[in-house]
Amino acid sequence: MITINLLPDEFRKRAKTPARMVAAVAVAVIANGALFSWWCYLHFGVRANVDTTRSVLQLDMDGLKPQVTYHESLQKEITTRSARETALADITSNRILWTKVVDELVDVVHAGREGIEHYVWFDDINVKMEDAGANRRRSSFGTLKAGGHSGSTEYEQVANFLGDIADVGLSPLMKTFELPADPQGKRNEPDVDLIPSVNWSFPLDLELKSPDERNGVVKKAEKPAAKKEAAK
Amino acid sequence: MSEKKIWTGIIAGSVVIAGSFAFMVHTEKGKIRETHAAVDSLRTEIDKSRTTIRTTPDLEREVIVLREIAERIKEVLPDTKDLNDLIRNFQDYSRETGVRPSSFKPKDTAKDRGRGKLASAFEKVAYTLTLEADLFQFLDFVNKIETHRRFMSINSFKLDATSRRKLESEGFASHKIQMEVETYKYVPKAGDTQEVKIEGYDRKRDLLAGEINRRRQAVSLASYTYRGPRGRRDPFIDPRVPSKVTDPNAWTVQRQMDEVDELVRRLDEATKYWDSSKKAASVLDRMVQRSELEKTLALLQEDLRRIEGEKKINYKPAEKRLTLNVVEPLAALRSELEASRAIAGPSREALEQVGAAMERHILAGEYDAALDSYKAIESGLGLIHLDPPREELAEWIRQLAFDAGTLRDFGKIKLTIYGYVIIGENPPVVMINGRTRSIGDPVGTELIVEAIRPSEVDFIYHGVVLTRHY
Repeated sequence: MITINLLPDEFRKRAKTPARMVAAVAVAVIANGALFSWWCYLHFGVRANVDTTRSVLQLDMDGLKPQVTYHESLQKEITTRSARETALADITSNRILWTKVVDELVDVVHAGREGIEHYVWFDDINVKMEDAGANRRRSSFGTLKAGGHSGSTEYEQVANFLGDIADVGLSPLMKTFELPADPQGKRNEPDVDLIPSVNWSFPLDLELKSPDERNGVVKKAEKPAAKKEAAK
Repeated sequence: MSEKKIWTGIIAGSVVIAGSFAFMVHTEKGKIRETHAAVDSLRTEIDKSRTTIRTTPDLEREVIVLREIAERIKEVLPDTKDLNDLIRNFQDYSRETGVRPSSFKPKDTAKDRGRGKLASAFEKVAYTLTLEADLFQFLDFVNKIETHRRFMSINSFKLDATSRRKLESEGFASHKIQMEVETYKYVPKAGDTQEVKIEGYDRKRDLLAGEINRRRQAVSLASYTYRGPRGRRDPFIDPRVPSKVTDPNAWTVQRQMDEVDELVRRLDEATKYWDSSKKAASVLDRMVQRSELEKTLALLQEDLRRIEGEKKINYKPAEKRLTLNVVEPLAALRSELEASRAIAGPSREALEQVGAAMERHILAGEYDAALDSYKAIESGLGLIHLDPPREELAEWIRQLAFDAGTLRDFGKIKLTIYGYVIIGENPPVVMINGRTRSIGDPVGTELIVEAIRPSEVDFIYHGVVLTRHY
């Protein structure tokens, strides 16, 4: 059935929005309002705060940057300059003052009191140092070899001389060299025109210690054989 | 519009708006997270930077010290090879020490370039020198190289001792030596050493003076003070002596070498006086130098005569050295000196020196030595007759020479005296050469008995009364 409202407009009942719709709109508005408020809080509250903090810290960092650059420049200059000092230290550590060593050897010869302990002279001396720069753990760091003569009939004087070389109380040679090789000698033909007429030839073989040992940085480890002897 | 459409519109609109807001919130949260991360990173960076720059003063100090010692390090380990300078140094050292170089040549060191961590940090420069010298000259030479302001080291050397025969012919040791001298050139890395400006540098440097000095000392190379032979023999010279020497008081080889060395030194001293006198700017200065020269020469000649007379030098090398380095140069110097004073004659000081030396010799019974001293000056005595003070000294010297000659000749006359008789007022009698003599009797052609006393007889000889004890 069709119902027709014939009342004039001013008397007609106003058409009402349904309550459910109003409620739904209200919910939607509240929800969206809440979301908007959250965004506002994040954007204008939290983020602005963090941005401010970051700006302050960045300002701080910008202030520190020139100092850090200055520090790095100093560091670079030190590296450059100390490289020469390091290079110098390295090459000097391997140097031996041969004036000192040979002077000490002459002292030992002189200490023989011209035949009372020993009476030694040499035909030659040959000194050779190995380059320690490449390998500091090599087996030989250099040698001193000399052809010696002992002017005495008593060949024990050769041992006396080698003993004097190894005597740390008499000579500092052992700071530079390992112990001399075991004594050996050969009797030469006597020369009756000379005093003493008899002389014994003997080799003097000395091995250089490593640069670290010479400079007193490390002490050479005991040889395994020596350790075994000690254990017995 | 139908209710359904309205509902649809409301729901759709709400969802779209809500979705947009949700997206905005999500995006915002993301941005906040990023900013937080950036803040954390900045904080870390700031902390790190603060920690870093806290050590800046230490670095500044280190840089200042390194800059201040850089020149010293550069001196020791330079950037350049400077080989010409190196050779000039070797030449100076050779001259100063007396070593005799025969060759020098660079060694190829390309394969020895710094290796490992020090690769290309430095470049080795090596020279092989060949020379002749005795051991102590060689040590002096090596010492000068090792104490040079630039780092130099000797990595190998070979010495072959001179032969006994060569030593005897030359009089000095000429060991053959080959040595390798190394030095280094620093090779800076690319982009090296840009100096950073340090505020208040001078003030900070002044505060670090102590540390700078300490580090400068540490950079100094180790050195050894070589003090020469010090009475020790050269162990590369065969020290054996000839077996024919029978004198138990004979000098040792070392003593002979030392004595000759001393004479050589004194002759050098005399030569220096001679050179100075020739270059003297004033007459007074020349006289002073000449006077010193005369004194030195007189003493030197006296000692040389004694050594030669006693034949103390019999070790061939020492003998040869004595001839080559003392006797011959001394004679040359003497003749040069004599030639220069041909007009003036010997100085007053020379006359006094010679006279005193002659007196000493006469008192010691060394009449020949006294006459030798006289002979050295005799030729000049005739030139000073116009100078009364010197002529008086010349007369004294002539008298001393006469006395020395008379005493020497009297000493050579063989007299065998034994037995005498002295009784009261009777003339005394003595037995000389198997015959009795009284006062006034001649003995041979030149002696006359002057007086006879117990244990001694006076003779007149060349107008002088001389006593002979028996």
